[in-house]
Amino acid sequence: MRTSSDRWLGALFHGWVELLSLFGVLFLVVLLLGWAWGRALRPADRGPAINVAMLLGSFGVVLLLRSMQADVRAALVVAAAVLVAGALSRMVRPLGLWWLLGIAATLLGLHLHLSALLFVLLCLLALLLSPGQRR
Amino acid sequence: MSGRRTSGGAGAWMVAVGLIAITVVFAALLGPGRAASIALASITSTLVDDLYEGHPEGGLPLLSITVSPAALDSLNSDLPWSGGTNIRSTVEVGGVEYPARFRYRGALTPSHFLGEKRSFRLTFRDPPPQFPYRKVNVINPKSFNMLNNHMGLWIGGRMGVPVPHDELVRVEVNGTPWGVMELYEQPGDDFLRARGLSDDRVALYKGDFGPVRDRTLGARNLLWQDAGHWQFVGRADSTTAHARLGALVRAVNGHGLSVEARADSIARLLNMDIYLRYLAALWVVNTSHIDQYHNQFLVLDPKDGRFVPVLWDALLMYDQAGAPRYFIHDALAYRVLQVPQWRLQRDRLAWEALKELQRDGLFRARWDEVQDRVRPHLLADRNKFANVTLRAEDVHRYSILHAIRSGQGIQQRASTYWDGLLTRIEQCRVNVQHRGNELVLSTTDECPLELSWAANDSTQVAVLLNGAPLHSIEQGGYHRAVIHRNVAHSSAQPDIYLQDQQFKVEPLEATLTFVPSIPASVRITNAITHAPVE
Repeated sequence: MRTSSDRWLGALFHGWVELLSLFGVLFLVVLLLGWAWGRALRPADRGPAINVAMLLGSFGVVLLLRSMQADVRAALVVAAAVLVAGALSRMVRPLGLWWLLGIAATLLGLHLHLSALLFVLLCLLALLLSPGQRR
Repeated sequence: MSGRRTSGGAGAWMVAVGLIAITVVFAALLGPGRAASIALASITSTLVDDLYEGHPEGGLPLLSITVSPAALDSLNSDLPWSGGTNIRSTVEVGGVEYPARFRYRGALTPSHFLGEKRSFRLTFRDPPPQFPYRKVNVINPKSFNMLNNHMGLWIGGRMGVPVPHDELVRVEVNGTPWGVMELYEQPGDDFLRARGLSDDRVALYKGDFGPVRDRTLGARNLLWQDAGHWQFVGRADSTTAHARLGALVRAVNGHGLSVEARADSIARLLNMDIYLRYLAALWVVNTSHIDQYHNQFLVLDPKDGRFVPVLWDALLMYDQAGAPRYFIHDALAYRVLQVPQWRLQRDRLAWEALKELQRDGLFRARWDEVQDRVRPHLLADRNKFANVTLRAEDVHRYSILHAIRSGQGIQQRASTYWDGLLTRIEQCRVNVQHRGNELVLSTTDECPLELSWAANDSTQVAVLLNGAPLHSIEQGGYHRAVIHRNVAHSSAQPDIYLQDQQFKVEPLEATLTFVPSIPASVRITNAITHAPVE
């Protein structure tokens, strides 16, 4: 073995890419759901393509759940608290989109990627097929 | 609104640029190739593996281990040096709890102790009936496919070589899944007793690197240089065993002995049938993981007082350098492979095994059977750690895609290798010229030749090979004589202790003289396969 710093560098990079991968996935989810949400609205009512607050908030939920694998129930309680806190704050609007992202982030955080994928696809379908006036 | 959008967009871009910059810095520090391998392992293990949401139960036995979390933390904090420290544990197997001592193992190979799936050893006073051995290793398999070593040992076992018990298991430590691991018997003085082959403890020697002492890795000693380099294991009587091992080491490294005299001495101390099976298995498994320094075990069989090798850590397709016909993994193999009759016997054993494994599809069938049992657990295993680059310290989590690719790759490599070996063994194109009562044979293929002629011919025939009498035996109504091939050492200066040596078969140019004349029934065949030469 060369040096322990070399070993840690590799490990850090592995973890860093893991974070980036999750962030990338969540970025896509926020982009797609945000687009589908705003598609039926008038251009003036649409939000930004990427809602940064929602992205960071939901990413926080993913990290929280992944770092508390030993006690999933506690992690879920904390994640729910983050989602509710986000909902109560004025940072994340529209609220409906925040809940959808929250659920997707929770599934990703619990390593349930297939469920998350199916959930996002179903949400996309529902958003694309439903009228936008009631959002 | 548009101002907010613009500033939000700029912020997002800044974040993106920052993330890319950090990644580029990492890649620059690690080097592009290494960074790409680690990144690929990270991305696929993060995104692909979590697509599987099943919770498989059957198929593999579950080993549930309970240890004091504080004691385990203490060991974890000082790896690999804490590997010598045992802590108390309880092992639940099949619903029954067994007290055992638990310690980490494998200080030399980082894949044993880096990452979250760490190899350990359990020592039982009363072992479970499922694996009735006093000591078992539970190791993180070195290969992505996890079956490599298991299959290597299975091949050895099929070929009649003593092998440690090896099976894939699921492991939980304090309720946390550690995923699929390989339960690997640690040969000890109960090696024969556990197999019902002896009532008593037996003398067993481990040929490996010396033990870790004072936070220093053990010495690398040439095993056949000195009997003291072998580690006596267990509590059996060692008096006779030490004397016999000393004699075997002297037979291997002693000077001034002829090949025949040395072979006689070795055959009195070593079970040659099993040792040749062992050499054949090393060739078939294609492993160079067993060498002059480590991965060897010798058991003294109390029935005949001869040593028997145990195949250990036989990594499948861990290539022998230079695609050798006669790979010399250690000094004993050097001495044994110098003997033409033993080379022939080894080749026959390998050929028999290859026909079953490759032609009859036994290896593929066994692989599929084991893989079917392992697959759901491998899919569910989120704790797969191995070397994702060729650097020892790069032990990271890898994905199911790595495992699939590795499984397909090793099967393909084995198949190609075995097809090549079969061709190499069976191909026997010999140029035969008749000159009166002489046959002039020449070939560049590697096959030894067998000459046979009917024993019921009225005249007695004497055969000379290059002017020297060729010894024949009568068998099945035929006289048979083998024309062994000469071999040359791969090194300009032969040394029994060199690593990765081989004997190469020299081209054959031989004149057979038949006195008084060539019998009408004479046949020349490949001495291994008994097929007529081409």
